[in-house]
Amino acid sequence: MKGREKYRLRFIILALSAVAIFLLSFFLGRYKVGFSAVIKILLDRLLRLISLDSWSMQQSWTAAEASVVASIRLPRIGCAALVGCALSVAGACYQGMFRNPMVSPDILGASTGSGFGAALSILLGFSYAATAVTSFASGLAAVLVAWLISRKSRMQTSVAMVLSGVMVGSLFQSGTSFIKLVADTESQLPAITYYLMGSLSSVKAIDFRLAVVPILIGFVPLFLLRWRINLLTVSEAEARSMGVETGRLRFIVIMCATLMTSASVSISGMIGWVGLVIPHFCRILFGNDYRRLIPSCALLGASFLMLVDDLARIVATSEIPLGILTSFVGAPVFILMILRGGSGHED
Amino acid sequence: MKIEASSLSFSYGMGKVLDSISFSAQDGQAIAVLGPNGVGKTTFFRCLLGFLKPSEGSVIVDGRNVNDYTRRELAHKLAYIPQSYSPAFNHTVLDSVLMGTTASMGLFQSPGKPQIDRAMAALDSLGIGKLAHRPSLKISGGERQLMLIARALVQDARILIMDEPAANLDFGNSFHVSSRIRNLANKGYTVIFSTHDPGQAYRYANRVVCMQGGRIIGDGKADEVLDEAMLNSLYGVKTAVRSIEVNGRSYKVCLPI
Repeated sequence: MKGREKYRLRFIILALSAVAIFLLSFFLGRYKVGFSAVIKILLDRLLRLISLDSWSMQQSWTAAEASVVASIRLPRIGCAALVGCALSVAGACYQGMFRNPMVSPDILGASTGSGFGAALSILLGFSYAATAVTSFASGLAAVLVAWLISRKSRMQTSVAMVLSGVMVGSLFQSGTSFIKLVADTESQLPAITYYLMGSLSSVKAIDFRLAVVPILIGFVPLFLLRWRINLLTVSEAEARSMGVETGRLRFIVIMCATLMTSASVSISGMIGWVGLVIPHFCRILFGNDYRRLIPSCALLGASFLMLVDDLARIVATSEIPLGILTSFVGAPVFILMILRGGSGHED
Repeated sequence: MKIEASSLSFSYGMGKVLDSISFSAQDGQAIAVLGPNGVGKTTFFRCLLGFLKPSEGSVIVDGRNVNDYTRRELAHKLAYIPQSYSPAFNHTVLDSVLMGTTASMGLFQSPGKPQIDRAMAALDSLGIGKLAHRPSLKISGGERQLMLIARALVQDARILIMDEPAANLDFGNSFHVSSRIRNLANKGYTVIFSTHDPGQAYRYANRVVCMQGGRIIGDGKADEVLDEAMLNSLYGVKTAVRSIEVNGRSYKVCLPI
């Protein structure tokens, strides 16, 4: 089949580029590390990981190089890949389940909702686990409220959903601002600001480890159910008549996508547009079938955010927050979608 | 496979939309459901499909209450073909047809070669195999309707419920789609479709059900049931029904006067 081979080739190119970008990212930054040192340090880490520290490479690199590559850049690049992947897959799934190509975690208010939950937990002095749960619950609440308002609206649903998402997002944003206002300026305010900053400049290995679990818990069901998500994009009556329990499926999709979003917010703060732009490009490159869309969004999202984070590191002398860079790409794409009717119908 | 509604009533709050309807359909019947807008045809179909729970009475499909099936089990009995197809995303024709195979696959399964072969066979049987890789929203309305029929065929259901299958089609496409519908009944499927065109009922249905005010006021062969008086009382328009002969075959036509 012609179409399938075309997509397979594109997917292989995408996967190879993701690996190349991952490796390239280790060489970018203020501190220069040589090619062989990076490869050896990474191999050493990998060997230690798979053999539980019983194997290792002969050390031919300096302690400073090891620290830069393994303790600073590896977690940062890993987190960029993880967040890019999570936001893109969540965006694609929200689009399918709401039958709307113009929604994404940030437009639906899921990101701001999660951010508000996190800020509130810090204000109330919750533990890390309680913060994660509150952030997820608050993100979920934001999505559900936006969804309910758009269903009650008499406007065209795709427009109503974008508008109600923006409203709910701004409401939660104000909530966060209010929390910052009343927070203790010595300890809480910096913690909240830092949490929501929209940057990966200070992530550590522990951040990666804490976020990878919920993101995988969200990703695996979506990946397994990817064929069925297609059926959510036709009308409710058709999907049910074809044997899909749509209520249950929608519930799973919304829980998983929101879990991935709130886990991303917890390590990177609010990074906008990724969840809109990446699915849009994947639809152009791989079609609208979720069998291809989910894996390709994961890879393209990861590659994109690794690249953007590289730019954030190297373009200016001081770090540029990621959110600024992603909106340079995202806003024009969104405008283009509005001009083209936002239909997502270009094959 | 038999589908049967017995003293089926349904109301949205106040006022009955369906008022004790009794109806049963067998293999090989092509049943046209006629009646003015708002008479309860859509509600009737939604009850048959198990989307609505009747306030009184029941719908029995293959010996079991329609509301007692899981959606997956029911998908092997009943297929639904909507009046218009408006997915949020432009899937290819083949992918759209493959959606019909979902009920026969495991929860985490994606369509593979056997499903693709079945979908292609269904498309070929309807003469639109060459459209398989085209975007489903870039084909003509008639082709799209045939695609939805193909989707219902791969679903392996024996009872097809169609909401005004020819309503948005031009003269030629309306003929093509309607004659396919009749072919399916000849092959043993049960086809229940709504229409606003009495001409279609005469031409393609072997049974006509007339609805008014939530009740069935006529049920039987088109020639017998759908006469001038019935059309007048259904639509409030004086109508003349005539037979015309073409190449030795007789066709009924009706004209509002």
